[in-house]
Amino acid sequence: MQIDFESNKPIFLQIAEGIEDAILSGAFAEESQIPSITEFSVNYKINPATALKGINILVEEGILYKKRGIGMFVKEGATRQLKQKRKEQFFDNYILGLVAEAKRLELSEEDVKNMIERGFKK
Amino acid sequence: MNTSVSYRYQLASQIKGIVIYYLIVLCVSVLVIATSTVAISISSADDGLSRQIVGTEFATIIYLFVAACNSFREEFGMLMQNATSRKSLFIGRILTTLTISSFMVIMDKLIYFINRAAYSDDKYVVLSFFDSFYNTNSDSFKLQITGFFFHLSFNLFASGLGYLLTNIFYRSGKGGRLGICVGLPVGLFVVFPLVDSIVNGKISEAIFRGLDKILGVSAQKPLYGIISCFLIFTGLSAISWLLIRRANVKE
Amino acid sequence: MTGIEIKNVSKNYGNVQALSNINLTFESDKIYGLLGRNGAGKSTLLNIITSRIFADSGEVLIDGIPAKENDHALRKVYLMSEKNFYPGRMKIKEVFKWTRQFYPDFDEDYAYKLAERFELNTGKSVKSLSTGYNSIFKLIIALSVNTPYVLLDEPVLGLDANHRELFYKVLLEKYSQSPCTIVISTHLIEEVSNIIENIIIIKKGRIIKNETCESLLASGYSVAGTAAKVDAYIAGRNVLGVDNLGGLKQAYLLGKIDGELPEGIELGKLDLQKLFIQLTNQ
Repeated sequence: MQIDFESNKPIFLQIAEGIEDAILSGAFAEESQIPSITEFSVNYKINPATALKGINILVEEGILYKKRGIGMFVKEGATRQLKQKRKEQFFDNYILGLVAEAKRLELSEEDVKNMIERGFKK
Repeated sequence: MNTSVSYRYQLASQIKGIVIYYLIVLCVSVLVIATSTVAISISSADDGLSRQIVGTEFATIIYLFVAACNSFREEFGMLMQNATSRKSLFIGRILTTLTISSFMVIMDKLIYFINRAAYSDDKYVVLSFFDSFYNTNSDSFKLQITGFFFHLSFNLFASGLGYLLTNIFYRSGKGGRLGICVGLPVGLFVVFPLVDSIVNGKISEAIFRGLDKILGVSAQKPLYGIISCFLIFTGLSAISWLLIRRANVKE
Repeated sequence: MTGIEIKNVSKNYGNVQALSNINLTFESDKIYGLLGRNGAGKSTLLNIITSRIFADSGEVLIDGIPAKENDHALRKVYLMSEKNFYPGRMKIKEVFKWTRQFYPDFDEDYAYKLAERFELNTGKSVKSLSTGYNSIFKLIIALSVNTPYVLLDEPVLGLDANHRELFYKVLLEKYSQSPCTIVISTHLIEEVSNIIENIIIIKKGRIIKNETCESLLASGYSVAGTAAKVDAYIAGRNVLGVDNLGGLKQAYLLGKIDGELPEGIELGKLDLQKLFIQLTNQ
């Protein structure tokens, strides 16, 4: 999980998204514990409040939950929930940018569709 | 409260110096006793003169003065660094002064008795500072006690004076310090004798008479001396406090 | 715990007004950045809080108690400063021993552990330490003293990169596990910008900014692109500064983004250092 300190995206958001990515890739399994606030804070050299903010976003969305005295855990079904969320965001996050770049490079709709097919065949 | 730690810290800072001082005193005393014992056995001539052995009390007074001159700056820095108020510092200093002054009086008394035992020969007379000051030979118990308190209050006076000097030094700017370093010796050893000789010694005469009165020397009243020294010590300490309470930590 | 309250504090040295009417509160359990140029008044303020020097007017309260000359209040604060007030001849382990006497919550074991991590020989005397290690031993004390308020004046002065990294690590470790109020006074903005929660900027003895890091960063943005495009965009806007690299330009602006950015312009974060330089110039 990398944090880009130069990016315009707030650090706490990057933390939240980083954890999401880790859950989706299976690095953080469901019902397993994720690193503590202290670990995030020390590892990335950020204020613990920032790490906490990012984690709290996921707690509110029901992705993570807190076990008192132990730490933060990934909720069961989080993977499915995240996939659903990402599906809804897929168009905005990837398609719009893809089409804009294709237009910049003067690729036709046909060209792009062919490339997508090629990508799925791989 | 940090008053207790302030006391313990300042006391601890003094211990090393005192130990070294008494080690030196002990060595010198042993040396002197050894050489004079040899001298006694060598010279059998009785010339009727009595040799005086002076006690260590005067050396202690000098030591306390010098030690006090060195007891502010570092301690002030350390105590300010460690969340201690100037009030606690001052109280700690007073307690330290009382402790070490008393301790050294007792040590000096011990050395006095050792000397008395070592120089049992009639040719030698062992005198304490008190004895030389008031021209007595403390044989009676009452005189011993008086001597004890006299040494104590003189020790306090010496300590208080040295401490005040270093306080003044600390609070002065560059000009002030130069003034003290140069001005004080020059004033005491050059200007004063000069002015004094112009008025045919009337100034030093007056000073000596004044000192004589408050210390009760010719009047043979050591009580005056004890009270005067103690009062002067109190006055000096009060001025020290006035200087310390507004002292800023310097680099 | 009500924090350290600084009320109407002023201090001048002769003609120079070192601090003018400072009103500020350091709340519990937060990491503050006290930023300012050399001579802005940061050290003076910290020294006044800890009663090392006296303010000309105003007062400082620590958890509601006037701090001036009060052992009980002063014991809640530890100030690690550039200047060394520990006796030169004293060995580090002796310093630890005495610190425990003055600050009863000082964790000696933890201090020795830190000394090992920083490779500090506790048998050395204070005066035999290099500049870097002089800072390090004081940092170790600051991290082990367990007072509710810890003030660090230029903590990483003279520290090499490894030790700086270690220091921030240990600081965050300690803060995460046992929160307290930490005030870092520095001009190394880039290093601390991610650690601090609140920023206070002092300029010529006055506070010009006192807000959360987040809100300060949200007060502006940066744009990057070709020089021509950027110039066109920034015309008429509140510009903090620009970086040029050949035909490319990056500009830092105050204010909110209005509408869409034109083609070829990339949006970026506001640079805290640039903001600081701009605010504290002249």
